[in-house]
Amino acid sequence: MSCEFVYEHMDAASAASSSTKGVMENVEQPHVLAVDDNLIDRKLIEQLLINSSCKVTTAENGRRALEFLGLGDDQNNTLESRVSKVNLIITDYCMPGMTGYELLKRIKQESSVMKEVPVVIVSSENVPTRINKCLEEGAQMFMLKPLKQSDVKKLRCQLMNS
Amino acid sequence: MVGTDLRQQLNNYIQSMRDQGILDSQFQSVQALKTEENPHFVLETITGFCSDADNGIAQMTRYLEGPVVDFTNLTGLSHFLRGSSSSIGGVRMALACRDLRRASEANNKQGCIEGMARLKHEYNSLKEGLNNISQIERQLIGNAQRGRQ
Repeated sequence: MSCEFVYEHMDAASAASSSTKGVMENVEQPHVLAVDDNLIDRKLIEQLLINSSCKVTTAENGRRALEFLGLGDDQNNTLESRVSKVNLIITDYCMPGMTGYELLKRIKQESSVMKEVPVVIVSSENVPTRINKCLEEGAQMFMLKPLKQSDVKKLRCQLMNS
Repeated sequence: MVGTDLRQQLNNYIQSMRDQGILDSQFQSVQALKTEENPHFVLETITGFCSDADNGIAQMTRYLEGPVVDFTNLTGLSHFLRGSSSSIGGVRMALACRDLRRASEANNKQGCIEGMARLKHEYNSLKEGLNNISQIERQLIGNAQRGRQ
């Protein structure tokens, strides 16, 4: 079966790409999915990532993020995906509906290559139990908002070049 | 020379807002995200923030003034606006949001009424400052575009 991905639900900042890369390969322009219910935070993370030569798709909640990834409830998940649409997922922790932690769990439960995609949790609150919970569930990293350009540079170096 | 004066004017204005504690260094981090490809970034961020804050505060007022106070939604919205104001560097407003959230989590109606009044006051100071910054920013963008002919 072919695994051609049609890029849907993209925000203005991201362009459609026909390239299919392995999740952790050193790609020129990594594709990042940023999930946050807050408009300002979405705008900031998007620009931070664009300034670090990333392609960005933003989602305002977990459900839309899963839909974009092809993991939505009403989507056909029986195909064994060989590639992932994104190289990295950055999600806010505190979101109404599905929290970033729940989104993380959902992604890590995947039997496909999706579960290998690094997930970074960001939060405005420094709560050690929350941080540990996320790291134990498989989050690559936990970072405090608001993110700085140096945070994103560090993220890029650590996660994209392994 | 006009361009330099305008930029200096902007920096001085931002510094005065920092001195008053209305803004913190995060605002300059937001400014630093502006690029040649995206010259309107700061303006758009300010506009988006004020829109969210106007709507959010109006909604929170309704939650507080209803026959039964909707503490759950009040808590959620104060958390949301705390995030926005913190991300744009509006530190005093962020603190007001934090305190309002605490009062709401404790189902403390009087605390929420006082907290809401303080939040509105802080937002008005911040909004005025951001509007003034936007005006100078617009002139700077206009000058830059003209200069590029």
